[in-house]
Amino acid sequence: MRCKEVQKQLAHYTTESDFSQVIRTHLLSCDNCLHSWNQLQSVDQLIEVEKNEKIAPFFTTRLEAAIEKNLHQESRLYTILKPKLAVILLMAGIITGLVIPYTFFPTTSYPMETDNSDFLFFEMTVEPNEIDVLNELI
Amino acid sequence: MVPLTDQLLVTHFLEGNKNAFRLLTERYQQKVFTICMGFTHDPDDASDVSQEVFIEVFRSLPKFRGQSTFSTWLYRITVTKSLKHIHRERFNKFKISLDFMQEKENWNLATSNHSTDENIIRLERKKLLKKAISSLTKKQRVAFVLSKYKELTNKEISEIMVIPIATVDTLIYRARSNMKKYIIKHSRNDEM
Repeated sequence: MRCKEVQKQLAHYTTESDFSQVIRTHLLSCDNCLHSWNQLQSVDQLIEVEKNEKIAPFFTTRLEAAIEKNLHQESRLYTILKPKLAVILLMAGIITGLVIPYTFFPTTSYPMETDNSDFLFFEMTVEPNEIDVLNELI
Repeated sequence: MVPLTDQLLVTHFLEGNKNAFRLLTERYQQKVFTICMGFTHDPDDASDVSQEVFIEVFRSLPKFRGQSTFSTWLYRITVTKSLKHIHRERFNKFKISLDFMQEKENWNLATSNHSTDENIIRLERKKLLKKAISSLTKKQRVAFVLSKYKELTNKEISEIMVIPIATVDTLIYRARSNMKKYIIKHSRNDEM
């Protein structure tokens, strides 16, 4: 039997007594497969050790202290109001940001119409100061 | 004398008797701790998660409607808290420095009764077990831990996970098979 087939079958066994003769013979001759089987067994043993691990003493006392501390830290009202308070503060911030500049720093209004002289100025081919320079040159 | 059932203790607690909660804690602390061990594989972490579980129970007990038994409800909270812890741990892994992890392992080695070689082998096996369980899907992991560590019946597991019993059977079978396959594959890779 090939190692790949044996290892496939090993996954379905829980104890050595379940082995078929073919697998038993293969394990005696193949170190690699035997190592795999030993690893499976050792992991099973480790689970047993973890399962029997005992909880630290005075757990209840420490738990009661933790609950007491917890109750002091977050009062129930605070927990409920926390998200609401955040929304209220955010809204207040937005409103303040919008209202205060207009109330205390009113913006100076600019007339919408443009003065005719502006157009004249822009339509001039030569700037007034350039005319002065040209006059000086002449 | 009337036996102090879970339901009776819950009722007493809701009436303001703090000793009832203490009795409930003492009754279930080891069971909750064992389930937490199945997820965390570390006694300190398991103890911390157990504490979180009972704090949550203390807070949520007034909301407990009694649709399931108290133990089912408690184990459900335990599973949720343990999975949250694993998620947090995965996130924190990037934050905790490797030096600290090494220091913790050295401390464990120094304080245990076994020889150094035995300890190294034990640590390797622990890592292998942790990785093998992590390789499972979330549902397979929960079903496997509840059946293997807590030895709950498939019916109880189905009530905790809110899934049919047949699905629990399949999940446990696949979890065992996948874990063993992972371990065999990993042990083969180690040798190469």
